[in-house]
Amino acid sequence: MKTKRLWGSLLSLVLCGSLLAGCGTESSSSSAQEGNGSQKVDKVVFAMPSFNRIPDDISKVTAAINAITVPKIGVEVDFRLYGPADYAQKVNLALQSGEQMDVFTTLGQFTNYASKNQLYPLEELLPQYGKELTQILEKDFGPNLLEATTMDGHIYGVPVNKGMSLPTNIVYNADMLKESGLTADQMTSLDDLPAVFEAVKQKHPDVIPFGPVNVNPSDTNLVLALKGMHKIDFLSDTTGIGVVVGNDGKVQNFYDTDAFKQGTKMMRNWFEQGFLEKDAATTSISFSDTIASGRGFSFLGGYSGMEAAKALSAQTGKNLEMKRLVPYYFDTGAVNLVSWMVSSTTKVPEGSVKFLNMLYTDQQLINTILYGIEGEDYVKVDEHHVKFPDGMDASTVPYTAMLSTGIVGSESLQYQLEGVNWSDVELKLKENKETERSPYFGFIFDPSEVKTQMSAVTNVVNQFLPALVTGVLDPDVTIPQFVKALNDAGASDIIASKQKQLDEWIAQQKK
Amino acid sequence: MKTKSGGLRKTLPLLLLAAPGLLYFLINNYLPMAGIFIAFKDVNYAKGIFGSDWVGFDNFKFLFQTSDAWIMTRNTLLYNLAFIVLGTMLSILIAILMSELLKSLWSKLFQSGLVLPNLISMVVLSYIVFAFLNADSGFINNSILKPLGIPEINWYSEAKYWPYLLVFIQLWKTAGYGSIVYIAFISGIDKSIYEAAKIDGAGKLKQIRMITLPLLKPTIIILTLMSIGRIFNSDFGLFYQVPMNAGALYSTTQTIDTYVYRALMQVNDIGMSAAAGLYQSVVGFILVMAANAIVKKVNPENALF
Amino acid sequence: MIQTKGERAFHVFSIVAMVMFTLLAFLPFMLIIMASFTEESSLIRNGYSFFPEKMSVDAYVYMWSSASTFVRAYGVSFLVTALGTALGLLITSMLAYPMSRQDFKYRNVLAFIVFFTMLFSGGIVPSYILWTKYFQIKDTLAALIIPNLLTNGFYVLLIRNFYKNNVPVELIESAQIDGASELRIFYRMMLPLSVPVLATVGLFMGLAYWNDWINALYFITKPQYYGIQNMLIRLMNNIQFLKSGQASSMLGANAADLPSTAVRMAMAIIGILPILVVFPFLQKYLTKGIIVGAVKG
Repeated sequence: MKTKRLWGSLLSLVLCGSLLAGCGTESSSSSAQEGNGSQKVDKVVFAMPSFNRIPDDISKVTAAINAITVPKIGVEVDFRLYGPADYAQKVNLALQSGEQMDVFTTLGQFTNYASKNQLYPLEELLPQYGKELTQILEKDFGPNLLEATTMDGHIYGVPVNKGMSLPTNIVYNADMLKESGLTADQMTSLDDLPAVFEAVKQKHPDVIPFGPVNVNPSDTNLVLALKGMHKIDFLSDTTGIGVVVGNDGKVQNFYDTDAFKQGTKMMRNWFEQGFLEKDAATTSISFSDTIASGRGFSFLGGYSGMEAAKALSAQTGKNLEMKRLVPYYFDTGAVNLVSWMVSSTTKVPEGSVKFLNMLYTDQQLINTILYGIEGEDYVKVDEHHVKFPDGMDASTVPYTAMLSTGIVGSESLQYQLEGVNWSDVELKLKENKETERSPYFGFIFDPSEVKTQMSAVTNVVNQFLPALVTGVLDPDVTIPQFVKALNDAGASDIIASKQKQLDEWIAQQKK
Repeated sequence: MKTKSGGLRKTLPLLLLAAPGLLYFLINNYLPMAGIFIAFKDVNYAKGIFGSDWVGFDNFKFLFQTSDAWIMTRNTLLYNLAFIVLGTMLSILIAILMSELLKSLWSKLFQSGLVLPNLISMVVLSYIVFAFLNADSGFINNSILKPLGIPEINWYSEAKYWPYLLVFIQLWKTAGYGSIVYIAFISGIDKSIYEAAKIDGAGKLKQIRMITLPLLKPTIIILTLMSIGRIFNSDFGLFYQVPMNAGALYSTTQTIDTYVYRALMQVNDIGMSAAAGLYQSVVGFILVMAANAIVKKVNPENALF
Repeated sequence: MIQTKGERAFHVFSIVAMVMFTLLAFLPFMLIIMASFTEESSLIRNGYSFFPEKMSVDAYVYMWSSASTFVRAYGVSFLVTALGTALGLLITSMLAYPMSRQDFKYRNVLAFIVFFTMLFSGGIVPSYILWTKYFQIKDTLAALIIPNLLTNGFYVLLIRNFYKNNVPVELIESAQIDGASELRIFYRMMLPLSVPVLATVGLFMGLAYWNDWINALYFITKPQYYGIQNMLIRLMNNIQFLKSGQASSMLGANAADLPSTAVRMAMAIIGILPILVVFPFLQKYLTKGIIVGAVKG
């Protein structure tokens, strides 16, 4: 009998506890308009990914944000901060289950969201509530940035406003280069590199000259370089099925092009000469870590501006420098990679757009979101620079989202950490206007007709590409297999669909 | 004594006992099952999940219309068969050995060893496997093959070794853990039966064959039936993380689950992922019903239901 | 007790075999421990090794800075595991007992209902809507305990099986003759007799709760409710993301300075250690035999 009473009380305790706890939390879905006396305030849910430590309590920063938005635009912001691993999951779940989620970003995959009608068309609201936004976009990027997020005449998102040109650079250990008796002048293009690798290998036999900087899956940035070298437009997705080389308007399979064949052959030569490690295609260790350990020499990376090497040096603890080898080529996908969007199910479209407008144009708002509260989370050094308060750094300060500078707002209005050259920021923005644009800039492909083929093709690409871009497999043998597998998976259907949509789009442009 | 009221008097309290559990299943499992219909819709968020169009079996196409379909199905089936058969045999063996050693000093240590492999997540395990198998500094290549003069193997590029590797790794991870169930059931066997057999002159092996195994039969059958139900599912971590997502190994490491994951990374369609899940469930269901029917014919009280 | 030659041989064989199994089980674990104490660059240069070139406690120092968060996460995990397992065992055995009785006419219906759930599922979205919209458990402890983990068909059928095959029907009948109610039979007789299977299922349930990170991923946004595995997986995923291609094109060169490989190993250890500490206390229940003496009397 005692045991029964024990169980019973335990049971009721737990039930009560959870009921109480459940009552105590605020419900996450709330009605759009909250009467605040006589003033009408829209409540907007704004979700941002942060790559820093997420603090337990962001209410102070939320209050600071609302202190700006409520008086200026009558919007109260429900600020949500999620890590990159959770972000897509939480946003998708909210959208799919009908919870309120108003302003959010893509982290890639813009086309997917658009083709499923998850986004609210903005073209009517922007002229009314987003005037400053369109102005600053034009100032920092040049005309027609919003074409990259326009489908069927509807503007579905706003790309983050920053330096988007990512030329391919060779990032290398400057000390090792010097010890091998060479200088940076000897590296003017990809073809110059093997000689450099050989020299480094001679001097340091246990050092691996080159490796993939991105892993899971391995990517040496060969494709990035090829895109820039041969002016290839990937037509708004990343599969590589259906690209256009130059301006001939002909949609083809990237993996069947001469450019790809040449590029992979070059990489294969590098591999056979021992310039990459044997596991390059499957390693989970990024080459920048290998460099940090002293065992690596260089990698290719796409970076805007000229100063990325400084940050990389700080990370790896080695003296790294970088040299630009291949220019960048703007296609739609390059620009809409990180775009901010309003969900199609929003109940507060005007409020959301007003907030979006501020997100790009209000310096105070942007920097509060990124750096937190002045005095507590950061200290201002001069007009453009800030630093952490004495004795604190990114992991000990109460709030910071400084790593999100590349994904939100306008770079021209963001504070930079002390030590970053402001003129480099200006250079990056300048290059936005100078980088060559594809003639098909603004074309977005709607994949809904070929869903099945896209998914089949993705598997094939994942299967073959990492080994090809690291030279681990012989392209002469592997590329034909690759292309055949792609065709079996329906690549030609995708290409046909893309060609059809592209032709329609070109005809539209001419009007 | 079997009056009508007697019948109800007996079943009512039993039903009441069963009620909380049933309620939980109803709420937690059956209510959300309505979501299965998503597999048949082309979800359009503007129209909402309920307002989207019905598209029949379109969402299932991507599972079949590919040359990979046969490979991934074959892999999933064969691996699971190997896991079920070999896993059960190994778990029973370990359980019998452990039961023998229960009173020994080392027993506690052995038992910890049973649980430990299962605690290590597949992600961490994939790093360990990499430490053994990587071409440059891996343990196998450096410390075993090289001294023996055998040329090194590029493990992550050769698909043919992986069926053996993956079966070994899976057994390593789960055999000990699975043996715990059998240990519990063996310890539930009355020791006096063994005494009696010993007096009759039966040796250890005979005791195992005549007493332990038959008494474990119901458990073995039920566990096997449950595994058959999941025969089209696979451990994502084992088939994706451990082979390091290496493309060259797809032919022997691609299962239905990894295929769906890779396919939907680009397209991100919840209709399609629901379709994949439904496909796996239905096949497992049919197979279990068939297996259960067979068991019912042979050994009625051991059937699942 | 005289041991025959056969018995002795079997005994020796058992010991040898189990020693080998146990070594095999512990070896990778030892490797992980050594890796967590290895200096990062040595780890990358030479790979994992039992005898690292250079040792260091950097990984643990790095994690020490978040020590208070880890302690709280441990607390959450312990609480959730204890509560969930206790509640789950109760519900499961209460359901399994009627199903094991051959004279209960609904036993096969229940078995089917229970088993069906092991195969079919509506997916995460309907579950999410159910629990957050209708039960409002978002950001509560209940969200870590109730969805999906409280019990499942496997546990129910396992315990049912034990009752059916290892508890003699005569025991139940004799209790009924004595006038005991079903409830009393259950509490006084079935539960104590099923200690081995309850311990087994309890172990599985406990581990499932301890290792679960998915419920928190979906239902929790407040960091104070994160359990330890969830925290670790998040940290690891964040590190992985920052090293991926997407991150570098979005963040530029700013991806933070993270000691990754050794830290990941240290994280794994932190997640496993408590279990290894608790497990020995549980072991004796796993192998407790049942007392069948009652029948013979």
